[in-house]
Amino acid sequence: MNNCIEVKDLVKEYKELRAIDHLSFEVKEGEIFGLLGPNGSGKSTTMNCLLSLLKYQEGQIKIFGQEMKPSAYELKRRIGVVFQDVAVFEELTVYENIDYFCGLYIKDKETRKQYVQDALDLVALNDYVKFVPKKLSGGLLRRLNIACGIAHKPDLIFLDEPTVAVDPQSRNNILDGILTLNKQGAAIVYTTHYMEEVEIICDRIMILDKGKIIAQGTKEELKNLVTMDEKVTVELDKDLPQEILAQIQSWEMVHNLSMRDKILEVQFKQGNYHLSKLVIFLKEKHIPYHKIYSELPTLNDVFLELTGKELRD
Amino acid sequence: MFWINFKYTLKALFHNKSLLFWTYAFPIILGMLFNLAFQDLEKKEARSTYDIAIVQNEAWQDASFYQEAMKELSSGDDPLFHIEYTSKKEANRLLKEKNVIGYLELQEEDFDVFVTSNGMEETILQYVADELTSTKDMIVDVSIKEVDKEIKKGNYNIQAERIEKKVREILDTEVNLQDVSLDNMSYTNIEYYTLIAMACLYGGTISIYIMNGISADISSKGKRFSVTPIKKGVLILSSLCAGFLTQIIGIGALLAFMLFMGNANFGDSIGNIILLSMAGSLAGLSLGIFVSSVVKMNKGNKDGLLIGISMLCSFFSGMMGMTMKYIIDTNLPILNKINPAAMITDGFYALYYYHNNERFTFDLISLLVFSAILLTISLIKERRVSYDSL
Amino acid sequence: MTVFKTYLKVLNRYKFTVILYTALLIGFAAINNTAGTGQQAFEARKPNVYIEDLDNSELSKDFIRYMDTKCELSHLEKEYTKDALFYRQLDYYLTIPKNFEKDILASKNPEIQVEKTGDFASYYANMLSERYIKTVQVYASTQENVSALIKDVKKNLDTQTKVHMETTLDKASIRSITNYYNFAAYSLLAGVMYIIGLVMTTFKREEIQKRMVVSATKQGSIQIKLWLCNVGYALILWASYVGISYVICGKVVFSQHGLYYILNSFLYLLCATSLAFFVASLLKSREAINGIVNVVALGSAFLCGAFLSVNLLPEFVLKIAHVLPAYWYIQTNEFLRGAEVINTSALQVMYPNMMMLVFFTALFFGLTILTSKMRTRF
Repeated sequence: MNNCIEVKDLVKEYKELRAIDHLSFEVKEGEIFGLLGPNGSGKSTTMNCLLSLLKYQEGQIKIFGQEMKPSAYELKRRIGVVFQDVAVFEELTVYENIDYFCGLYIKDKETRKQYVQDALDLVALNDYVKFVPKKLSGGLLRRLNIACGIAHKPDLIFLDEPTVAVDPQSRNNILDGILTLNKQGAAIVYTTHYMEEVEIICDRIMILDKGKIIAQGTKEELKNLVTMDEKVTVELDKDLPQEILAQIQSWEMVHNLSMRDKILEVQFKQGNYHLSKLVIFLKEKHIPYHKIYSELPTLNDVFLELTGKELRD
Repeated sequence: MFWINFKYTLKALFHNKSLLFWTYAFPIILGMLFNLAFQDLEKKEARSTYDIAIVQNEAWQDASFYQEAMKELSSGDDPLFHIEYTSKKEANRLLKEKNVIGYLELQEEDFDVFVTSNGMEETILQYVADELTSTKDMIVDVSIKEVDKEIKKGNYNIQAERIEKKVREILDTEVNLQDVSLDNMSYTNIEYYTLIAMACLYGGTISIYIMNGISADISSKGKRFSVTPIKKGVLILSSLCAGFLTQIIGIGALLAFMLFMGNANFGDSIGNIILLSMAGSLAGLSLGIFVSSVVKMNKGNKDGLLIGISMLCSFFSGMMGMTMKYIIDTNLPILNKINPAAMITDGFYALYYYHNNERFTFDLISLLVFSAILLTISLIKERRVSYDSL
Repeated sequence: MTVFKTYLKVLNRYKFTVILYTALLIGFAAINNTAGTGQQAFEARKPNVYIEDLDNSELSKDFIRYMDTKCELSHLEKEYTKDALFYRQLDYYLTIPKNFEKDILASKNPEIQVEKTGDFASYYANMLSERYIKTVQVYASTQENVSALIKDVKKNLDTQTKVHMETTLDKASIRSITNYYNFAAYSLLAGVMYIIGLVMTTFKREEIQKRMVVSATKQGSIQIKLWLCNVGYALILWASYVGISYVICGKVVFSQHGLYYILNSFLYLLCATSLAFFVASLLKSREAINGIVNVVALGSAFLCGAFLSVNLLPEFVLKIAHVLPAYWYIQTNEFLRGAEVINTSALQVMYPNMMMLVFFTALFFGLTILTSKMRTRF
């Protein structure tokens, strides 16, 4: 597969701050590429540089093999962008907004009409075509915002946190829409700090912090990067005494554990048979328990271990 | 792409209430106020009939010459005076209560004039008293000289009547003063011209709205425009055309209102009036674009700056005192050569007062040059489409 | 204190606009006054006359000499005279024709071209030139020697009627201060409304509004604090305005008359603040406020006589103007213009006007509280 985005040694500095520090990565055609990172990590800046909205000091950006410049109109025609802030005309209706922005790409009237209809279908706004943005709820507004960005059927779509502060229904609709667009062949660069979304839809992920790449790869590759493995939770009748806890802690494969409100949590390092070992141990000590379950590490845990920061800050 | 942007920009402009207010409602509301305030102005400035009083004392009873002269001044279609003949006490009372502008009291041969202030009206009263006295003196002087002449000729049979008749004849000859003033002297029209000028400049708010919408560093809509394949210049020009159309409809409505319902007078050259209004609108839009692309400020301050500039320009072109424009023109002409409101006002003035195409053409060209310079600077500035920060 | 701090913060955000408007509006008044564009139609003044002498004879020079005693002879460049006539900066343009002297001596009636504005002063100038020519004509019938003729004419025209006028007022500075403070009807109102509108709409953005409603401070007390903050800004504007009046009008500002002008403008200021506060409470968008400000400030200025003399306004317009605070404010100024002394009977005239301003202030303030009470229930 060809690369649709190639970034080499990108450096962007604001007055005193180096926002992006020698960033290099690729996005392949047809994939959904997740750009993860806490607020201020450089996600939006990276995106704005890719789109030539921002000047950058060093580096090279190629999209579809060509250099991206403010005047690269042919490239821009193949790109769709959904910005974080809702960017629509308050004075125009839903239909007019989509038609307006689509019209800046697509000249032919008939084609445009079809494209606008497709976009309306995709975000399920058919019932609201005559509404002005003021009359739309937050979730619907986001969907309109997306429709305006993708109506011209671009080959490469940038989505900058399109689901922030959106109701669950709209969020599902949006995620479905993204997958549909991807199935139709578009490569997608998806910026977010919601881990669950990335886990659901992204093929490959890049984690940014302070303008640097911390990790990059598929979900599995990322999870393998970390030493932690499953976390086992046990619901008990009463809190365990200190000496029992100390015994568990002393096992080589235990990373750490906690005992709070009759709930025991044990975090294991990479390895096998953690759960059965714990169950056997509890039986031996005649400790009764109600529920016991195990969770695999999430990207959030990966992120926490890599950066030491909570992602959703 | 040009047309779709034009179409939707136009649509958006026509749905923006505050812009519609500035472009359409505000100038017409002000125009109505002007109509109310100025309708009597020039009439009131012109000479009217003045109420005066004359003290009926003994001296007055004997002065038949003065009596006759006063009768003449207070009769006819448009008399200078309306006269009350009263006692001294009554005259004083009338003066104190401002029922009369002043009163005359004849002391022996000469008038005394009583007034409370020395305005124009009082000056005229005083002048009339002067003139009456000196005319009387003149008749006496001339009569004496005529008598002398006759005596020198050896004619001792002097006919007083004949001499008086001769003097009268000269006195009654109208002095041959030809009024060659230009016809269109109504200077309140300047107020209406400045109003159009102001409306044109306020049209700059349209440009600011447009530019806010397409600048990536101001609005997210701007970012969206920046990633589309439409050239920035094309985008600005096509939006500007929509703005121009919106603006010109507003100015047209204002002109129509003034021409058909108001007291304003623009001369006869409709074509030139329309041309000038269009150039004025363009200048206003260019000013707006210039302000928004050259000045880096938040939205509120930008609008504030534009309205401030518009007010300043209107002020110097005479909106808050018509003579201001003349004072600037004679003392600091350069200021009004770069002031678009003054160019617009002066253009209308040239059409109305001079019927003169030379001055009008100069104003028209000035407006176009003004717009061209501002637009060029703005477009050069706007061509750098990548930003240091957003 | 939080109300005050937030107020300052918002003010700081718009400091550019605040300073711009304050400077502009005070600047307008100052320039307007020094440039003397105030309406002069009723003021005592000599007509401005431009004489073009094509004859250049002894007699024509005497004509000019005579006009010079009664008029202000203009030395404008000729190219400006047409403009000057239009703008009433020149009242009368007189061309003394070639052979003027010869024609007069030959008892012909030479044609003399004049241009005039049609107002008082031009009328007066026209009478003066008529009088001179007539006098010359009369004496020329008896006299052929030019110098002797001029002597006769001079003697006759020098008659001066005795004028009795009792007034102690320094009319020039009173005129200047009246015009300046009349202008305040526009600039104070516009300044206060612009800035308060700007600040209050920002203040009113819903998050802030809601936070204030749920805060422990009483709603009424917030309103009063806000009003006080607004008065604070207004006072600064007013103080600058009064300060400049001293620079422009001189020490008349501190005369008894002057103090009443200042007092009157203070009452008007409170009224303007209150009105601004009310308008800001009604409207949400800044643009809407800007619109209202322009209509109200310019409108009441034109209708009540802030720019032009009240005397020039039609009767029915003045009747309508009674509902505007600016009307009562300007009425007091105009009364002061003509008042010889400020005694009890003068105060009896001014007090009702001033009370009207106080009434309007209270009215707008009351309305503000009323509307904002209705608004706090979302």
